Amino acid sequence: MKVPMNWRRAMGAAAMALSVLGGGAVLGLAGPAMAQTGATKDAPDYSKMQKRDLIVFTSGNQVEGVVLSETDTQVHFLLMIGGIRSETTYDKSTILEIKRNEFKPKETKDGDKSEVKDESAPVMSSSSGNSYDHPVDDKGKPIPAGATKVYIMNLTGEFGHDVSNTPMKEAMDDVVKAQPDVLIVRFNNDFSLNGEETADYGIDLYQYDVLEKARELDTLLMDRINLGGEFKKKPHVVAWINKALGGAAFLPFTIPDIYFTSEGRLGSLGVMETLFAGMGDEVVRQKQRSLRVGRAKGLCAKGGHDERLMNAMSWGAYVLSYRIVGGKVEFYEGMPPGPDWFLLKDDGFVNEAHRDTLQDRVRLKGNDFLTLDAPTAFNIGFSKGTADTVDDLLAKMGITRNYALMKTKSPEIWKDWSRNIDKAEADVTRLIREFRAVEVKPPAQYEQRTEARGRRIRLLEQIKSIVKVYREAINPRKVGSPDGLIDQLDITIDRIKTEQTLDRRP
Amino acid sequence: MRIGFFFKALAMTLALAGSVAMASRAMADRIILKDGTVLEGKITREGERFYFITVKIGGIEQNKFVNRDDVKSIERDSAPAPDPAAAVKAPDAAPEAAAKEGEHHSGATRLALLHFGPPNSWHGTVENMVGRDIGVRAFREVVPLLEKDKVDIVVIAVNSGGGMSLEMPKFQDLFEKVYKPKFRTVAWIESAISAAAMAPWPIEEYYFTPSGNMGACTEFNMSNLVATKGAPLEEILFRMEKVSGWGKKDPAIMRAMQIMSPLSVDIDSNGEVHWRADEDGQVVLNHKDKIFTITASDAVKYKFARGIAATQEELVKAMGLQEAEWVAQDATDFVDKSLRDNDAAFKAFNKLFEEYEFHIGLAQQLPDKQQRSIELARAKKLLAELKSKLSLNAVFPLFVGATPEWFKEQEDLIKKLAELP
Repeated sequence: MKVPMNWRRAMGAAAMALSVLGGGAVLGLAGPAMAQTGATKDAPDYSKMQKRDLIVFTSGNQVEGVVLSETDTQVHFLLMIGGIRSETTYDKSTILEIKRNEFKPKETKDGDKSEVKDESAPVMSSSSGNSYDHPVDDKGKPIPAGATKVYIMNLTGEFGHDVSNTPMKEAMDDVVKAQPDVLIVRFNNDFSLNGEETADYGIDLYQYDVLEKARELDTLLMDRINLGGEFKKKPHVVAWINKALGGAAFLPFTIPDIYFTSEGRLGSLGVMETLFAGMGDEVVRQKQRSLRVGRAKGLCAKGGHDERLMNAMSWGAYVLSYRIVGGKVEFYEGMPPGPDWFLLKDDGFVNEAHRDTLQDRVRLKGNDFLTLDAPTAFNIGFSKGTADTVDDLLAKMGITRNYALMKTKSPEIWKDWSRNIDKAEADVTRLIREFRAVEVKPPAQYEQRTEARGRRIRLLEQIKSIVKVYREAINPRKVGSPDGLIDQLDITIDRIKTEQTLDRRP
Repeated sequence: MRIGFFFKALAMTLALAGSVAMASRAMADRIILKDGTVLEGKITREGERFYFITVKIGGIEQNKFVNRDDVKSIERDSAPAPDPAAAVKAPDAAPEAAAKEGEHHSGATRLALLHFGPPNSWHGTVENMVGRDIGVRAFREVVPLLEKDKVDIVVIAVNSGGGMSLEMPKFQDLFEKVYKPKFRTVAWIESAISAAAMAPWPIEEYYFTPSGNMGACTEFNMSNLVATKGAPLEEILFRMEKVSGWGKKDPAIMRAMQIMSPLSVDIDSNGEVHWRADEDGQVVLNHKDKIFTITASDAVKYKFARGIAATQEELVKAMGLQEAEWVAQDATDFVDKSLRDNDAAFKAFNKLFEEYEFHIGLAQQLPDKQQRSIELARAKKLLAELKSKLSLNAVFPLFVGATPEWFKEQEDLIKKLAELP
């Protein structure tokens, strides 16, 4: 039987992983799971650094210090005000100019100019030799100047697992370099969560757990385009929906222009009334539901879509109808009040009289939950059109000639990530197995026990390093909640070290 | 408190000329608000959509911001306050003062941005819990930096999923009693949930990002999802009624965010919005069995917020500012640093707590006194370290259950284990 929240799943899975590690006795899980920064361990000694660079902001403000690192969008800076040093990060969009080596290093007593160790140098230099300086199409032919450059980003696999922050950031880095005129984000995701697939006609009550992931991805995708200032001309972004069910349905809402394939479906977000069911007080359950729907409606509003659609996709008891008047859609929160109205979603989830038949559900004709198909999405103005090929899609967008589909790194980026995350999960599972297999049978000698502990620690350190890299997307059902797991790994390592300290040579 | 440069320069000139009469008349402008409030003092600045008026409350001068939309009428006893941009160019009036003032003030409205919670651009690297990661201390300590940089408008950019009720009144008092008298204080809402909605509630001027949301303020116990009840509930409801008054908001709005209470609105023929604590208004925003969270579009539609802005530039436009500059970067950095530091400190505290639990647990399991004493020594050291960290942030222990009683129990436990044979 499922438990009603992701964190419960995660905690349960973490406990499971820990028991696998054999450290259950004193490893409390009472505290909230917290991520480790791990940032300070190898940090350079900032106190010895001298003022070197000057940043001038678009506001006219200036700050002095050392550029520690930079990406295409941000500058990590050691701010120096008098004797105070503080690390901070600035968005490049706020920066007018970075004056490097503006300040000469002070001379030391013996006359040598003191040198700041080059550990403060940027770790990622600004791009040079951009492979998109001479863009080619998907067949490798040069794209002529003046042609509309079309970049396609295919999002496949499980949302939150295969579609996650790191590959999205990398893919968007590529989009920035490519500077396309049109960015098509194609959604064709599995309807699954933590590796468990749900039938298209089904409803996974826990898909709302992916909302926060969608909010993060939105900042990497749409905020970067709209707020980042990295595009000479902002690309026209469109969402192209083939299958966006469950958590994958949130992100398209942030994109104003949406198209469907003829088989396209978007929705199946779950049922708010079941969230936290049976736990705590009703008012607290309502609070938890309210804030989630509020945030989801925020995504909806961001893309300029009607927030009532998010209500309809979230609440089982919510009823929504619509009609077309003068080519415009009108919504009504209730059963159709007249013959010119169409029912979009009823309250069949809570009202037996309106409940879908099994036959209808399986044939994707139910209306107890709102999942938009291509015709309905178009009728209510959510979708701007239906297209099954890129050419059709571009034609619907009004681009009928002189365009080119760009050859990009996007397919490689997403494919690599999916492969690596799968490998990471498999590696962790294997390492746990190997950890458990390290045995020292009595009467073992001190040296054998010491060697075994050393091996166990090395295995745990390997697990930790993998989890740290892939924590954002790792399946908690396979290896436990990544954050909780890292803490527990640390404690288990500590325990082994303590055992070693307490051990005595005979 | 900042007064427009021109007025200061002009006042100085007049004072030098011995114009006592002007000084006595200086506090006699009256702004009558639509809600009947009368502000009497000196209008020091005005723009297309706002006034600044210096009023005396309890002998203390305060510079108040007034939105033109809220004004019913104005009775002036002095010449209209000049356009601040023009003021900078005003010639000859106290040139020395002008030169001094000009070092810091170009005439553009000076804004500072303070992050109440990590912005989305940090991509979740820092947690956003009010009272733990977002502390009132940084917002208090940063005030001199804002004053030093002659900030006119402080923008509190809220992005948090809530936090500790304990910190909430401290923030409310700070915004009401320190920020508002000194600066035009503006809230810019990305996501303000629970304590993050209640803490900035005294602020009167709201803007939302396009995806902004605010509400879900039910106080509850995290460990069992049980809501606050009885007298403590009444206390917090009463508190928020009072704070709604500070923020010039209808108390029915916050009530519907705190408990399952209906909320609807009527819009009269003048376009004025009237909030109702029932479901009988023209538009029902919250049903009696739900908790209210407002989104950006409704916030603007029903005049809870004044505008929607995705960027700082859009915010400046939404505020109706002709000319603006973002200043006090050191203040922004200071608050940002506090967010990062608090986040790191809590994570370190949490780790310490877990380490302590491990060593005390091990000590309980060890039959050998010598081995046990090694673990107890470690546990004792860790407990002392945990205790020493309490001054960092009083709420840290609450997140791990390390109450004063818990510390006492642990000290007794260590003592008892040490005495075992």
